[in-house]
Amino acid sequence: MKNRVAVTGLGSISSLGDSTDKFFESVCNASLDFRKIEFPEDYPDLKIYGSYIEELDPKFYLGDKNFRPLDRTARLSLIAATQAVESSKWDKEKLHTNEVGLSLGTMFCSLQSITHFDYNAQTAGVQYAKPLDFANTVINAAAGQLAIWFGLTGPNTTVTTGYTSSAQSCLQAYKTIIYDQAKALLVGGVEELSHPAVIGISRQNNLAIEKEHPLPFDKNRSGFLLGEGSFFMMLESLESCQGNKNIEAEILGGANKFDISQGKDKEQTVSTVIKTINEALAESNISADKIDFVYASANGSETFDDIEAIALSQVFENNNTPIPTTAVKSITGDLLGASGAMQAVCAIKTLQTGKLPGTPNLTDSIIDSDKISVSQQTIDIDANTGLVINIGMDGLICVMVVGKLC
Amino acid sequence: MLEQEKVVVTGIGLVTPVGIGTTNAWQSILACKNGFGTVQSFDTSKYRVHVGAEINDFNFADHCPELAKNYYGRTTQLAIVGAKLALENAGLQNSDLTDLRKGVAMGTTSGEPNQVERFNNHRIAEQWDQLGAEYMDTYPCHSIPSNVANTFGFHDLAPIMLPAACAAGNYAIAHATDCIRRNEADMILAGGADSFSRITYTGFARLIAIAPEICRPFDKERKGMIPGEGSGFLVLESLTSARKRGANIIAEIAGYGTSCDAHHMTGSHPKGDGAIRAMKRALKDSKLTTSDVSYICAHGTGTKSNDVNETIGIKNLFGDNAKDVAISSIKSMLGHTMGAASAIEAGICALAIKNNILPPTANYETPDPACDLDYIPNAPREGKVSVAMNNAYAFGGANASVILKEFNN
Repeated sequence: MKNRVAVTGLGSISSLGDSTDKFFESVCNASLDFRKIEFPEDYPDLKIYGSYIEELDPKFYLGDKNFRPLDRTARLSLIAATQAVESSKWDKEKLHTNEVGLSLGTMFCSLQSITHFDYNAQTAGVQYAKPLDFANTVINAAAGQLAIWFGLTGPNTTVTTGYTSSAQSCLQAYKTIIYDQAKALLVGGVEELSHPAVIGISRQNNLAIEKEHPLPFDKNRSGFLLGEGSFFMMLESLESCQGNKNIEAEILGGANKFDISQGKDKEQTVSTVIKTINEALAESNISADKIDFVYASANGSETFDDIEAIALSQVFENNNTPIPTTAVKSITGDLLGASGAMQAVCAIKTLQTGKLPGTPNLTDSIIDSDKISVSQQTIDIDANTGLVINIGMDGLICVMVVGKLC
Repeated sequence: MLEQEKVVVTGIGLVTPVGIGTTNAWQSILACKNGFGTVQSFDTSKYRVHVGAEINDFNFADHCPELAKNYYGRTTQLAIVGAKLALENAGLQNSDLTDLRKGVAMGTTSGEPNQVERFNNHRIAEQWDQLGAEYMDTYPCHSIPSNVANTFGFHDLAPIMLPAACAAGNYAIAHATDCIRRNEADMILAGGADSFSRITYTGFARLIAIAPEICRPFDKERKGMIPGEGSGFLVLESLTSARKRGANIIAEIAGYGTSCDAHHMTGSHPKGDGAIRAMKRALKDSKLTTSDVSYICAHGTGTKSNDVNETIGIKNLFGDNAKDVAISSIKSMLGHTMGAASAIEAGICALAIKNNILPPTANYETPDPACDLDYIPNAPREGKVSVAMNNAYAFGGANASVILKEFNN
């Protein structure tokens, strides 16, 4: 008998809000916050928009403590993780006593810090490279900083599977609990909008250059815009927490796959996406007609939005009514490795409020199936079970199913 | 816990500063060969130290001529060759594995740091036009296991990168073990890789953690670690699959344990707290006790604090048995190959079990009263190795112990 996995706490920070409620309200109100990214003077002069936090002051959230050892990625993680820990009624002592672990998904983690450390050593001199900053050049730096902050002495894992990183970290944590290897885990995702990443992704021609907002599922889409933020959940085995905790939702299951064509063979990628969704549904013991809404992965990519739309139309082809679907990255931007956790947090809020955010600025949809319904506006739905999809342009696909506790 | 599949090692691939290829690396270690030399890959004239453990004779095209036209970072190249050697060692290079569910699980400390260095070089030289799509195609570290998976057709499972710094190889082995035990996979290439990096070298130099000439773990006169590079892969397979194809079983993965110090970003816990919990969990998972352990492949970096704290941890957990267990640090020869280290060391543990030879700690001259256990100084030792514990500790406080044991039919 496998354990069931409850979500007992949520935490969020992005430019759209510094709590889960504020963030979700902004998403439902389609409060877009894309601004031109300001690069250092010696960077290429690019007109790229992104959704990022102008001033991030951890003292405002966590009091007057020494945040010097934590870089931006760790600070974002810490703010969101603190909310998840506090809302799930854990405290530092209990986390330590119970040897609670952490699983953090990120695509780049501290790329900005890593780049700066090397740049500083090369320009100012090796003697000016700060040992304190070196600690933040390992890719598991943020996870290590969180462990120190909260006294998390359980397994400490950083997961990097590109765009699906935090979805994968949630899936890993889910499996750890269902197989009784842990009773509780703090899981989440983080992505800082770092200049080296923006330059690099722009070189891949994946960004919507000079566009002020992305257009997922729209015929006029030309790429995605980046966001930044961190999103966390406290996961616990239902058996260990039922009766004494506020349970936000249940993780019902999930699945992941690798598509070697990486979108080059459209038919093959569609097939892999469908297989991943079907496997996630099977793992969750649920059929497609019981899914009430979909948080799509669509971000404005010319190739992958199309692939996802086709896959969804086939997964839900036997439904009598169209499946309500949102491309929430139209509002948040693509948070890369943090996207999965962000979408999962949003999906849980949809379960709680019955509100499914819209896909603003969608005027000329690519979706020609009557099995999928993508609305510009936030809609009210009867939401008991939702699907969270992450499709990476690198071939990695991860799907989760979340539901109300019943 | 549901009924578990047994996990066995059927192949080992090692790319190290003391030898490329499993046999070469093993023989070099038994011969106490040092892999240290003056750093070649960048100018160290402004550093106080100049020694590194680079693999100077590594040429990707020699090993994978058919892939030489592709643009890969050096870590990816090291990883692909390590994986290839592991498959060859398992006798799988020409096998039809289409019926098996296969995957890749990897660890790393820095992924492709050379790409960040390239980025900065172009920035400093104001040569942005020379930075193309290859930078971002290559840098994100999950691209490394994806490239390994693509190269060898090990993509039935989604490839995964677990960057747990210097414990990363063991984390990957632990993940792969879980996947096979849960019957999600039949065979996984599990390992780690890291390339020699200016960033890593600068950081350790600034921590004053690099030894000026030689690495002497557990020696009173030890002066630090020596950064290195390499890759190590194990072919991990379900016992069912291994038996079905008549594989040569080298060892069994008995279990693993992971933990976090939650103490300091770069220093280990002074009482070995997290290390002890990782070892305890590994023993519990393996259904073994400390008295069963024949050999500990230590993290043994050669820094003042690591070696003392590790010794304290072993003594606290093993109690009276601590003096009886043979311990060595192969970093005394390979240097610290970062995310590859514990994967390479897991391979060495498997070879120790297979050959009943305990690998030595090289360069050991002066006993340290604070490190007073049996470190197998300067020469390998013959002896029954039934159970080997592979310990790895990392920045961020991540600890991972993997236990390998003799496979009994």
